[in-house]
Parts: sequence; C-alpha cells; structure tokens
Amino acid sequence: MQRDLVEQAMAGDRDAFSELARAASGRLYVVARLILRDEGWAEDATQEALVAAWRRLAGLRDPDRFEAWLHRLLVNACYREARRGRRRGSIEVHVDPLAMPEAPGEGDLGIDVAVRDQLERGFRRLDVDQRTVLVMHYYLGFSLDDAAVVLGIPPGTVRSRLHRATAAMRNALEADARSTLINEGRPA
Amino acid sequence: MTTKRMSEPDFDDLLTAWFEADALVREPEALLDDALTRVDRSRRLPAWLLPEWWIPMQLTTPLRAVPRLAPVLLLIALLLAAIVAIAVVGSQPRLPDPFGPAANGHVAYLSNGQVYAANPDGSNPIQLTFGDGSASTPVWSRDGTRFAYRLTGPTSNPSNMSDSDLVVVDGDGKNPITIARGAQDISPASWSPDGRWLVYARMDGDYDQVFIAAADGSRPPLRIGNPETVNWSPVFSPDGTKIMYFVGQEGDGIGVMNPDGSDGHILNTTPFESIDSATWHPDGDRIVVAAAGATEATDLWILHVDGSPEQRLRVPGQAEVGPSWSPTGDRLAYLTSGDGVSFLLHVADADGANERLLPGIYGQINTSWSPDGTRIAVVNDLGSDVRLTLLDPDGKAEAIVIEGVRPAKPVAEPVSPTAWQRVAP
Repeated sequence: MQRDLVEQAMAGDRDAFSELARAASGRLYVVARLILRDEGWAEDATQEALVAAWRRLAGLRDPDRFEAWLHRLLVNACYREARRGRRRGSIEVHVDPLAMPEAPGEGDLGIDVAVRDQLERGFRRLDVDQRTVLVMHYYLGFSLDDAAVVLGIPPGTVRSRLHRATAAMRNALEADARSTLINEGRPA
Repeated sequence: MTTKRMSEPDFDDLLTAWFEADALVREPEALLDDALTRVDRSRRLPAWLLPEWWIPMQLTTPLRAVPRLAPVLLLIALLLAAIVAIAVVGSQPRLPDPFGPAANGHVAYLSNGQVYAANPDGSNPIQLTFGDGSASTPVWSRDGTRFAYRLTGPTSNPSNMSDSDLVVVDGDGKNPITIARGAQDISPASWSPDGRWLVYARMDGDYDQVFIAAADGSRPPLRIGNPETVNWSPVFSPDGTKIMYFVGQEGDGIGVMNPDGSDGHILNTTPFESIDSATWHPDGDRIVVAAAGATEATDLWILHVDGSPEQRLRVPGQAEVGPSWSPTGDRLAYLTSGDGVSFLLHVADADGANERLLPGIYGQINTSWSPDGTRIAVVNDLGSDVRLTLLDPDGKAEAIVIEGVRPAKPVAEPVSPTAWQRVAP
C-alpha cells in the first residue's frame, strides 16, 4: 500500500504525497520533538523534512526505503534547527520545558517523576548528535547498523556516540542520586 | 562514596520507557496543512537534476528475445565474445604494488543499497552489485582487482535485517564468493596486502569478535584474539604482519595482534573513554587515533607499535576527528569541529606541524587521501544535498565536487580509504 503511494508520489502525484505526509507527520514530529526538546523547532523541522521529501522524491530509487530516507531528511532538518537555535541562543538553556503528564509520584509507564526530571536534565546536556542516536536506538528501535545507514556515519561512530550519550545519562542519574544522599546527610 | 549502578538492561528499559512516555503527544493541528501549503509552493526537482536518475534502474531486466533476431543477436554476441577473449588473453594487466602510492582507480560508493563505482571526477558511474538485499561497506583489495562488501537481508535471513553476509566479488561485481553467512553486525572487512585473507568483526555470542577468513572462501572463518574482551573493527597493517583492532565495548583501547591472533596487546597507556577512528601509517609502525578521555574533547593520538609512549596532537580548543595519512605518510588530514555538527578540514605534517586549513565546511567525520596523494576526499552532507568533495591538499588546484554521490542511502563509505581503487601507475 505504502509502496504504491510512494511510487505515485514519485511520479508527481500530489495527493499520494499528501497521504504519505499525513501518515508520517505525527511520527516525524514526535521524533523531532524528542531530539530538539522544543515544540516550535520540532514543528519547523517536521515541515522542512516534508518539503524536502517532496522536492527530492524523484530521486528516490527504491520506494521501500522511503521511511529510512524520510528519517534522514528529518535528522538533517533537526541539525539545521539546532544550528539556528544556537544562533538564537543556547539550546541547552533557553528552551521551554516540554509539557509532561502530571502525576504526583510516578508518570506514564511507571517512571518516577524525579527520575524523569533527572533524565530530562541529562538529555538536555547532550549535543544533537548524541540525542539523535539515543532517540533512533531507544525510541525508533534502530539497530546500530541501521542508525549508521540513516545518519550516514560509520557504525563505530554510532556506537561511540551511543556510549557517550548513555554514559552521560547514567552520570546525570547517579549525580542526582549522590546529591540527594548528601543532602540527606547519609553515606551511600 | 558510591551509588548503586543500574544494570544495563534496566537502564535500556528506562530510557525506552522515558522516550515512549515523552512521545505521548499529538502534532500541532496546523502542522500538516502548513507543510502541505509549503509543498505547494515548492519546486519539485526534476529527476534529471538528481544524479541517481542517470543510473539505469533496470540493468538486471533480461532482454526479451525476438525469435527472428535471435540468430543475428547470437552471431553478434559470439563476435563480441571473441573480441573480448582476444583482448583479455592478449593483455597482461599491470597491478599496483600493495604498498605506497598508486594511481587512482574507481571510487566506490553506495546508492539504494547497491555498490557503484565512478571515475574520481564522478563520471561514468557503473553499478557493480545487483539483486535483493542491501550492499554496504565496499572495500577494494590492495591490487584493486576485487572488493568485499556486506550484504544485508533478505538473502541472509529474511526475518532479520541486521544479519548479513560478507561477500567477495571481482572488480566488475562478478563471481561472488560468500565468506561469512548470516552474521550479526559484520564490520567492514580489511584485506591482507597479498589479497589472500580478510579480517572482520562480527557478533559472536554477546560480543564482537575478530575473525580471519580466506578471501577465496577455501577455508571457514576462524575467530582470533582474546575471547574475554570485546574486539572489533580489525584492520591489517600495510605489510600484513599485524592486525589493529578496537578493544572494549565502546573503544577503550587500540590493540594489535599477529594475524594468527597471538601477541595481542593494547597500545595506549592513556585510558580512552571513546575512540572515533584509527588508521595505520603507511610504514606500519604507528597508528593515528581520534580518541577522547573521560572529560576531554576528541584529540588525535599517535600510538607506536613498538610500545613507545603515545603522542598527543592538539589543536587548542577544538575536537579533532577523522584523521588519515597521505599515501607517503608524510602528511595528515583531519577535521576539527567547534560545535560537533560542522567540520573544518586541515592538513598538517605527520607530527602535526605546519597545519593548514583547507576551504569548505563539512558534515562528516572521515577523510581519505586518493591513492596518488593528490586529493583528499571529504563528504559534505550538511544540507539535504550530499556532496563528495575532492580537495587539493596544497590548496592550489580547484576542488572537484561530486554531487549526490550517495543520494538515497547515506553511508560513510565514499570517504573510506578503502573506497578508492588502487591501480598501477
């Protein structure tokens, strides 16, 4: 079904492309929002990726690779948004916190709100490279090789970025845990 | 003071759950309409402007026989075959030496899961692999007569796209030999200088391990190295007497061992938190590594095979990545980045002195010298257009820009040193 739509869109069928965009836009927006941590930038990146897809669709030789190709365009768009963000101000400091589900102790899927805040703080300290690899691996479920293909970098680099990113996230959690223990005045 | 460290699976589950919880949002209502409005205003690039359009899509489609023409076609085919046979028999192809500079042959690159090769100026692209599955990591033998590549699904295992075969073919893509079948996470292969052996890494149990295999498929692959450590990305030294490999799950060190797996040891005494890349010097006596300590940016390190203390090459205030030696080993190309997204290309002497900045901004972290040392290849993929740029290391000749060399399947192979075919001068 999707392959048919892709082929029709590749042939210039605007309605077919609209169908593809309608099916993909929500997911693309979520991925961009996870990477950029800013709803406005995520919206811009998603739009940019969809426009780029339409402009360059004639060059997509294998319709079955439409999804991976679209993710590549989205990641490129996220990089551009992040660069613009740096020109506007620091991405790390001046973004508004994402709206999160309200809960007294535990959020969705059983994650403690405090842990979620620690993860959020750790994630915001990562650069876009590292954020992207984390999102592709842990949210989209890409293997390291698949992520490497989509990102256009060697698998070793993906592995390295993933390691650094997860190490930073772990450090964020553990640093907060240590702070809590220190504040409570007892050794860990 | 210590805190309890979360186990790896628990931490992975936590990250996944956190992302999933964070993803429970709806896109803004106007997003799609706004995007489609912009689409309506956008010019659709015609196919002929996109490089992939010039590569035939149906090269594998068999010709439909026309009965009355069949005898004529058969005669023509026989004549052509005779001419080709005479040409092949009458010519003795010269091969490059396995060491040192060579002339520039084809540049291999990927498009839509197939291996292509083009002249170094991007002209005359030809498709070298066909069929189902996705080809990647083409690596030419040192004499340029064959290449090895990874073939991922569906031939290996239709239900698991991460399983791959390691395949060797002639330079024209023919006579495939499957060296390894259905292996998980196969690394790019490395050829021994005499072309008889290949080393590669793949998952073996829970960890990556190094394997050596006969390039003609005559012997099954053999695991080498210490099975107690994670070993990956092996590369033969230029003279074939050593194999360099990454040690540790994330690249804690650079090890060297003999091709039979003996005498494996780690070269660096400085602990590395991560290693981005490592490349042999053409003399085989040292390795340049882009690596980072626990709290530091990535720097270039020279590791000596004889055990001499490593040297650190630094550009103050910047991270250096993607180093490569010139074919003669007297110069080094590398990239620096201030923001981790865009990179500047530098050339320096082998010891880091006389650094020169070359023009352009790039979005990939690999550099590669052409076999004759007259060009450095680097990829710019900062925009949606992907360009392979070939620069004169002396900054005199104009840069050659190959547009869209890997238009629909972005990978880093176009700038891998092994993507350049070496041919006799």
